[in-house]
Amino acid sequence: MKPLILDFKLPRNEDQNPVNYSYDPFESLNVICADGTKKPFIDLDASDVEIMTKTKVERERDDDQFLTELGTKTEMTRERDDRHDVILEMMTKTFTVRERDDR
Amino acid sequence: MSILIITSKIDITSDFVIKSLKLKKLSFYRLNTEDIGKTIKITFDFSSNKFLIFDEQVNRTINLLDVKSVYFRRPEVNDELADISPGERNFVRSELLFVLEGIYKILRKAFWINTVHAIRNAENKVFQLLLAKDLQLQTPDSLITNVPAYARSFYQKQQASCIIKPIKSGLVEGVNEEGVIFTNKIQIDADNAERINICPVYLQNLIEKRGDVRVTLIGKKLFVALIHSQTSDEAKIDWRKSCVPLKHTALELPGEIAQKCFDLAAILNLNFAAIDFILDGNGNYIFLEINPNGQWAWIEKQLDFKISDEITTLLADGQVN
Repeated sequence: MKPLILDFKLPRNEDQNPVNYSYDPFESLNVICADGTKKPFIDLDASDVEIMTKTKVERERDDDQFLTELGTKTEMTRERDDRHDVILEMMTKTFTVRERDDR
Repeated sequence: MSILIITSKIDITSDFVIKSLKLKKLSFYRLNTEDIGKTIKITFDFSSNKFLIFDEQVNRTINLLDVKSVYFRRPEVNDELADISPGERNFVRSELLFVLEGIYKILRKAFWINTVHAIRNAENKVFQLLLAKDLQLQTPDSLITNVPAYARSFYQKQQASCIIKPIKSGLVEGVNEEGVIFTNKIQIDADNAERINICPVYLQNLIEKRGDVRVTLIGKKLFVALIHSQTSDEAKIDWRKSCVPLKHTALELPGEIAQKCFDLAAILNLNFAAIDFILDGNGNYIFLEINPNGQWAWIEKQLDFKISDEITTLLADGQVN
């Protein structure tokens, strides 16, 4: 018999950030490379997303899928300039990083 | 070296703190604990009283006894272990976790946001509700039970308007599955009540909201955000469920509620806390929970709150002034 609370389990949509970033040990920060320039991921802005998304789209997927995968269903109607805010918010909000027991 | 950030590389929130530390030109080291056993070497030499971390990526040695302040975020352990059995993996994992615990003990004289002990103590939602009631904070009608009859009786008493939520955290994690359980409206009937037997449920009355309030407490400062959760069907019951950013506005708490936030944090020995309230249609602040290691970066971004600046000020001061 399945416990009642498990009826409400939803799949998680994390780790689907379409912007490539990596940890830089010398900066102690996660960084992105947009148009040949390195900058902190948290300083991601609209133009970075535009450049990086375009690259990614050309490489592997269409733009609509990018937004859907981010979990931004109604986001499709938003202005393109808002995307960087969406990415950062989804990456730093509750449940977007592991919320398991603190070590 | 005076400030240590204990976290992992995936923790974007720590990036905000690092950026602020850099702007203030404060000396710090970010310890990504999943690298212990990979690029980070630890040596605890008890006879010479040296407790060292060597980061070979940046060729830097940290003496833990030199650390004055610690920001504790999201440590992880190295899971990339090849050629060993599951039991051996558990053993190594346990050894690594105990090394981490040892690091926390070595750092026991430093100033922490927050100590691991305080975080673990504060996380229990049953304890949180007891303390909230002690402080005479308004709370929802709440019941935790695995007795179907009690659950059905509570449900009827609330005019069939109840929510169900996890007692601990909403994370469902396994080898081949990942899921999350948010707060949900529940219908309890003869068909499903028996399934309460197996695992206790946490029920509360469903409260009509004006919005949700997230209070971020750092030392003696509060950053208060009203989350406009009622503008989205998806977010009405649990704002975390929203796939799109919700509108936030800055809010000022009534003095009595603000003081109770500080009182609650003081009881729990917390220098940082994320406290959730419902703001109902009558202007009442109804306490939901306190998260001693909650997320905050998206609020800083949305409302231009100086949260990371406040955290680094506190770390630099090494005490709550």
